[in-house]
Amino acid sequence: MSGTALQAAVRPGHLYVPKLVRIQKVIRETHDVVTFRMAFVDEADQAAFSYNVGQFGEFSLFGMGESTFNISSSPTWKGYFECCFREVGRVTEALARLKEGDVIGFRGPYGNAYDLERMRGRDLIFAAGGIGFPPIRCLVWQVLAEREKYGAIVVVHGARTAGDLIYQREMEEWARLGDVHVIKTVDPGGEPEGWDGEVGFVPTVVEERVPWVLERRGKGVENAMAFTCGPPIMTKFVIEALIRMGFGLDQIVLTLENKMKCAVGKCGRCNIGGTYVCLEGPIFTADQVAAMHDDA
Amino acid sequence: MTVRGYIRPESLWQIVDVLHGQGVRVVAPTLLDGLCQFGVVTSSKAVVTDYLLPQNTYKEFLFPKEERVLTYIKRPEGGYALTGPEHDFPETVVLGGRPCDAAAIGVSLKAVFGGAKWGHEDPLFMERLEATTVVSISCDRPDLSCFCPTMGLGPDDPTGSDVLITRTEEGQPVFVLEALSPKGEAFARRIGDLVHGDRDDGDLAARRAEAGEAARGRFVRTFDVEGVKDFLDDPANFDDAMYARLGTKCVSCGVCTFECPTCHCFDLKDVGTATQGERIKIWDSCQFPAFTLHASGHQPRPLPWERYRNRFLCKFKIYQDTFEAPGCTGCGRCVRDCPVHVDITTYAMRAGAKQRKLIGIEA
Repeated sequence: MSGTALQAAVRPGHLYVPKLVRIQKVIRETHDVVTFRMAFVDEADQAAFSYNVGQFGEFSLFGMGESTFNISSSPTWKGYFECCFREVGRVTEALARLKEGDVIGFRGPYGNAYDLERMRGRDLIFAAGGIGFPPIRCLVWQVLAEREKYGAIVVVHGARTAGDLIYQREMEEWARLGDVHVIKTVDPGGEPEGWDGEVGFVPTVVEERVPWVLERRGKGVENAMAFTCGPPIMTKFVIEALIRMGFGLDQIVLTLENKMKCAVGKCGRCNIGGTYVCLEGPIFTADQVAAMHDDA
Repeated sequence: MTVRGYIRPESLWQIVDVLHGQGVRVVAPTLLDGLCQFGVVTSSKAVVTDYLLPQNTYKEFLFPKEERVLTYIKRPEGGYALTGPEHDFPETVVLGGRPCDAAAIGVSLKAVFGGAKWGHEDPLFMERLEATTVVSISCDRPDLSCFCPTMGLGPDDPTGSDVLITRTEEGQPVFVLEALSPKGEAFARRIGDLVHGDRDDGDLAARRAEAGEAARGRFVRTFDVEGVKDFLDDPANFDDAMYARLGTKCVSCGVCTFECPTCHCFDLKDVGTATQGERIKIWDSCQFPAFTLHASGHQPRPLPWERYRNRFLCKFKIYQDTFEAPGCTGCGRCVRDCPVHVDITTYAMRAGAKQRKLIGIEA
């Protein structure tokens, strides 16, 4: 039976019914982080699918349930899309056991997107920690697809140990481009023998390395924007470091995550104070976050 | 003018028999598990006629406690066959609901599930709402927990109802019937013979208005609702000492959320095996610790009083900000039935600026 026939019984547009997607490629990023490259089972669904960089989806393994992941690929890539997740709970552990050719459910895309228009011509700082990298990685690729429209680019990615760094091959690829500053770092004690990256927490590395790049560009901090995602404690100190460097809160962009079920503003659990992350986010500027109730 | 006539007291609940005879599903106050609850009734004899507010709300007939959203079967050759919910939405009359529930379900829940502001309409709720005629009966004896007038409603408020029936007080009591929508007009035609004086009647309207006015005078519980919103809008007040003080005794049982007519939270869960089963939408509660627990172990609201703070915020701020609808209609169930007497109106009384001055929290 074709994919079209499989979906035909489902009421069109039903809010909670996913579409079927087939896993084309499983990439094991680290011992507990997996990337899926996927395409819709139904070719018409694939042709109709579009998303903006920074959006997310609900990925499901039938019998286990749904998980919320950022769409970690760039919308400039055609014919497939990706997600990247850490095995940390029941659904993600079961998903991680799937193989190429297996079929899962997908609902989305949901949420807002990065404001590319506002980024044009600016120097861009990306600071990601651990499994917070995928929502930054999609944006890096989007920016690189139209490199000439942006200024300097700095990518800082940190993890607890060298073995926890994801997208290492891609970081090497970006470094070879010659006009992207790529910095990998591990927490003190996480460096193996012969480690060629930095040792230090992401906020510290940002504060040590970014001012030099901005100075050489000579356009001032006011022409820069920073994007950060990672553990709450990391993003807190990244923001503090950026403020010390002269960044305004509206120049700092975060992509938040909270536990979600429906992703469409009904199930009631992703709110931070009065803000539903699924409806108004997941992408916010730091001044928007500062105005929220301290409920995260 | 919407007054369609009056119903004699002895024929009020015969409406159940008439509608049942016409094949319409009727939901009315009835005795279930020893409690007065909204349930499906097939005879006027099953109706509890002496009640203030059933223990549950009739939201469960539009937003069921548990319902299937899809069925999956793994195909031997790979992939899955998915089928949608395939529910039917029987024509239903809710008879004897109160104005607080009518506004909560017809306005607030509709704002969430209808997606007027954000899109993403939930067709399961909306199809049932479409198939439902809400025939409310005005309250004449509010109890000490009721506070609908504070929430801008009232014991005879028509919001969310297709028909409002109000018991008059002067002289021989009668029930005045007002049809408020095309569905309400159709209902009035359906019960035909039970309605007398099928014309505009100034006297009936005046007596109905007097009855509402008299009932409004019987409420005692109130607070400064605009002041509460101002208080909640200020992030600095999120750390107010009252939250821990008033909420520490909360046992996180969730009864306040399950009985609440505006609470809309649910979980999506898979029930079945890897090869076949279904995905269900099932009521959940912000009072349960697992509600917001991340797989990573991160927990935004680890303590019971923090979860109750979220509930207070939701009722008096989040609902308005996010869905442009009231989060509370003053039915009082969460006040009446909390096993440890956590009282949301106590929070509201302390949060509202006027009361804060009165009780000496602020000069």
